[in-house]
Amino acid sequence: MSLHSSRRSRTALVLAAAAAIALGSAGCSALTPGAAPGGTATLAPATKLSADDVTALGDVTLRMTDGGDAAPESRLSQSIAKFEAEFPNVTVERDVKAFADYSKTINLVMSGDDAPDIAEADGAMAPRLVAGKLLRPLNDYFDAYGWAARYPSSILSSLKASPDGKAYGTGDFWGVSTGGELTGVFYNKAVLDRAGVDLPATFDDFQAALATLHDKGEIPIQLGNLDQWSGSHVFSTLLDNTADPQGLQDWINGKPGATFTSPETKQALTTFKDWFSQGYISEQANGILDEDAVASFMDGQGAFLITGTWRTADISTTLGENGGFMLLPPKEEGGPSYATGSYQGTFGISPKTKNADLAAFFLDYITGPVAASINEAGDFLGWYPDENSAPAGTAAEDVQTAWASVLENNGLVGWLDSASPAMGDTLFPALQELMAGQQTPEQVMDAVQKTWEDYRQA
Amino acid sequence: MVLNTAVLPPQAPASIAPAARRRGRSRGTAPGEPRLVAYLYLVPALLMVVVFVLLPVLHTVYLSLVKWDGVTAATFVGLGNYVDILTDPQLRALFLHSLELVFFFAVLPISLGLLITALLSRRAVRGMTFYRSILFLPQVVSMVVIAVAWQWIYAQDGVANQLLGLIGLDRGIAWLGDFTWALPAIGIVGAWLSTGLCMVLFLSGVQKIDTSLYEAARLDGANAWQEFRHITLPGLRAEIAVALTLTVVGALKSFDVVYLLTKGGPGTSTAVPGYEIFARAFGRGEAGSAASLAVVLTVIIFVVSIAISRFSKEPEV
Repeated sequence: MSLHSSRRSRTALVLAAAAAIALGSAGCSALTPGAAPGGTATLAPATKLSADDVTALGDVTLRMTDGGDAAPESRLSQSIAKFEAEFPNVTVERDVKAFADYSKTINLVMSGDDAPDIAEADGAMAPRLVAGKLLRPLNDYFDAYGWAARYPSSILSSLKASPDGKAYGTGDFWGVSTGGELTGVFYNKAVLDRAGVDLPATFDDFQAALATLHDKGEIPIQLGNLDQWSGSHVFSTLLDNTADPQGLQDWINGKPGATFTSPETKQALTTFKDWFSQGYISEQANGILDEDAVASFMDGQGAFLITGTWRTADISTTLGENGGFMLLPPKEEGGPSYATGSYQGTFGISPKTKNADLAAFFLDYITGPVAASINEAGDFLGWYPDENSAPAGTAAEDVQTAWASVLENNGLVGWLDSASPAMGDTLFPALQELMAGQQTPEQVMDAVQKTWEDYRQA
Repeated sequence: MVLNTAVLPPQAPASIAPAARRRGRSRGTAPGEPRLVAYLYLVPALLMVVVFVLLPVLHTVYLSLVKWDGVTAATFVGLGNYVDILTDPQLRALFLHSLELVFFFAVLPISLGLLITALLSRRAVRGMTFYRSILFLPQVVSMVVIAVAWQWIYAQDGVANQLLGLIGLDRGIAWLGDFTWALPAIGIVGAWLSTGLCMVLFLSGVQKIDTSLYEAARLDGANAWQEFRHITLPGLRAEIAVALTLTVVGALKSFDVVYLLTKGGPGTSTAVPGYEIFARAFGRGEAGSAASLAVVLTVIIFVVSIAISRFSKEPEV
């Protein structure tokens, strides 16, 4: 290329860039992100439809999107099928995505002009959907259908969000939930028997059991934390039973002045760290997949597995009568146990829908007793424990007993990583570093609290 | 080209070309000067580039100047996001991780690729296509599959430890969960991925080197190393530049390997800028700061690739 032409092409490039930048800034107003919020128009008044009203609607299509289980035997698929059988004039068009993809795309889906009528959301998605006015306030439907009576207080508070989405427990209801899940301790009776350990009734007994199991050459607690979140469930289960549960829930909800930093939190972090130092949990846990750890547990390696009830079906069928489940034993025998857990299958209504009344009627149906009575898939636990059933003498039955007791004691505390959008990105790596002795409990507490405050101050 | 010969009779180009030239001349443009109509041919491609590359890039630049959660109205913060990025010591660590990956993604595969090329190109090897295919296979397999396979390999009872056990070195480490070894472990996956690519590039490059050069060198008594150093290596300059650009850029913008293998863990020991951009934009609702980090990364990649192409130019005589 000659000198002349290369200089000219360079001039042209600069000109083109300048033009592009000018064009870009001129188009700024059109490109301003988030400038057009979803539902600014006033909402039509809510009406509670009767079954006859719904039948009289003629052919209607309800569009919903979720990140749940698309399998036909899942609770959601089954309740939708029952609904459609009962109301043949209503067609439910369901768009299911893998959960990880779902959570990344739901904002875009709901801000589109053809947003579905109904969308699933969780504690991580709701804040932005609420702040963007992409979910219709459901207070009127909560009153009309009496939904509030279903839920324990921690759940009820997390279904309400402030208008800016940064705090739970205040503001409007944004969603209605089908059921919940909790974390607790799965155990293998065969392994406990082999080591001559009785099922612990208090936390001190539990610690003693871990020591005995370790001495007898068993793996006391099975954990795979390569996925990063699984370790946080072990820790939060510990924390819920060490610190004040209401204080923790306030902190998760973003109540002003709440703090993570406390002697109890430090104690829980220290115990968690000790479990590694003592060898109660494999020091290689950070390199083991959650999936593989669960498989090992079901294969008879490991006495305890602290995880969520989403593993119930697998463990219950694989271990059969050797499998069991309990909440983390309380400090004093017979005292209340607390469990990390929250709602599942929670749905909101788009403010853009023309079928809000029908959507609410449909949600009342799929989140009500009908859904709770579907237990085959065991994907999560319904809000009507009386409707639950499980094979006797299995982990699944223990899970239902634990669930009922937690609902009765109001003993459910939310996920720690729901406290702010970046919380998981702070807490999970910090716990891995604590496990490996690269961070102290104080450093973990400070980092976690800082993330919480940064979000609230921004 | 293939299209042309298919549509036109073979003698057609010869007969059309002079006519076209005559028409061009009659309009008064100097011979050899490009005519304006040529730009018309560029329009479709240009339009695609503008709509799908240039505008999104500019939009990202614009987003990098705002604070935005991805949904609600954004606020303009000027260069605020950039100031945050440049003053964040944790982000610097991520770029250092990238730098370490450059060794594994670029330096190692290119060295290995050259070695394999030197071995395979010196004389005709039986089953050459087979070896080539095997070594290129990693490029073809889906990254998700690769990630699952390597997670098994690196597991506590995985193949890596079994092999180390053969020489008595199995210490029962779950490699991806180890603060010291997780990043090199990811790096080795990257090296394994790009070695095939480099090798294929180099093997095709070697074929265009005049064989008489080797003959002459041998007659002069050159050994294998001298042949490689003075004929193969200079002959592959262009291919090495391409391989270097591809692999270095690949290392700097790496995301999928990390996302699928460790999600940045344990701790943040394998976190890289590409993963951080994803986490900020889609996980934490920090679209503005994600965009500015993306712009910074793009600028770095730009500078690095320009530098590579500068350094790899034939020295001017």
